[in-house]
Amino acid sequence: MLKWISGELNIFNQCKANRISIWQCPPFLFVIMGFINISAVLSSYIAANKFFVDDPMIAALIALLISLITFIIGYAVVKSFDEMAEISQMKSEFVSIASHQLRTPLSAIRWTIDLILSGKLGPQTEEQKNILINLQESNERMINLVNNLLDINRIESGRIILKVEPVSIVEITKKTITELSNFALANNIGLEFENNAEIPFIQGDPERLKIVIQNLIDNAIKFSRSGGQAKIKITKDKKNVMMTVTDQGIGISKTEQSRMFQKFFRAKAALRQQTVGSGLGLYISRAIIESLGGKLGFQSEENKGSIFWFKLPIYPPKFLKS
Amino acid sequence: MVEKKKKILFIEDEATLQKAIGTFLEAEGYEIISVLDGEAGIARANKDMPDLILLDLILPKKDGFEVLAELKTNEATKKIPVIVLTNLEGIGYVDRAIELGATTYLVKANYTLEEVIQKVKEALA
Repeated sequence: MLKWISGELNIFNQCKANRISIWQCPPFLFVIMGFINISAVLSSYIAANKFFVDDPMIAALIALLISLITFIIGYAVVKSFDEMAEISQMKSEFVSIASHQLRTPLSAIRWTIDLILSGKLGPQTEEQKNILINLQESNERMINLVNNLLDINRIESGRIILKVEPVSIVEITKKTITELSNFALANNIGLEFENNAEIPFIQGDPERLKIVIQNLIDNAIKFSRSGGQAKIKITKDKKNVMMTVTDQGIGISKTEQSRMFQKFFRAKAALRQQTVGSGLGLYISRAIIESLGGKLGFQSEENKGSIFWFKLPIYPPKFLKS
Repeated sequence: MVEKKKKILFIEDEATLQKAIGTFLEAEGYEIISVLDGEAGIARANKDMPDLILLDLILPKKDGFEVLAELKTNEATKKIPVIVLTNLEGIGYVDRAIELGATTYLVKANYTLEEVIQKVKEALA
């Protein structure tokens, strides 16, 4: 608590972290304004009492002058907020334009490698094939990163959900498990899927939900130990459909658990296990689930494993079953 | 009797993408006409009457929306199915393209080459 208060009060550090000059920094200007306000009231009172008892006009003029100063500082505060908002907007636009521009050459690389691997340009040796597959994987990582950056922009401007329709979580999960089965095999991780009950449709954006499910299962594979098992389970209650992904992996330390949904955050143990990753997956996943009226959370114990879960409201016509 | 090759017009300003899809589709037995800008795309659509058009949205001279609007208001070309193949993503773009008459809207970064070819085959079936 004390640490939080001292952090909040350390205006200079805040301004430094935001990389803006002290005279354009709203928290600093705000404190200055408060200080001037208080001193103005006090000094007007003292001056009026001591020196201008006979002439209240002068006291009123002093008060007016001080009001003018606070008005100018107030204007500077508002102006600096405007500038910060404008910079943030420009940054978002830059990320959006750069990401869109990056997607075209990345798609060109992906499709050219697809073309060569398809054999339509002639056969390749095993070694050439392996090199191309490695290239393809690196390219996919870049595409994912660019897509993540675009998703973050969408989250920040409240446009992450593109459509809401009845969606079968079971179908998306089955498809995702099939797509990730080779990755699980390569990491020597078993994938177990369980959905005993009849699972109703939920309301969501199928493409965005796939990102969430993919992220959770992908993490369970990446952060498990070789030979481990990741368990995916879908259940329901009266109002919600719930999905849990349980792994027996490295887990998350108590000190780092509160930061798991921060943008770009990667836990130390995760960095040791997997150097590849942007620290954006969980941030984006939680934003998607919350935008759809659901909740996403986790329980974890270091060196024992984690359980990540989300729940989403059932689509209103309850007779729809998947 | 030899079956006539199906003709696909590909309007795309990125030569590498044209080459990748074009080569794959030619190997699958399709005839590909590739153009690099919107104006040339409209001209070739009228001249060659393709069975399908693959259309990028960010194009020189005339953008994809203008091309789509012209193709769909022209009696001669309005029945040709158009697959929009772009990296512009957003509900506004999708709605606009579909309203103008596009058959399908594909975001390049979300599809592998095989998946795109599959969509082409479905549209031509």
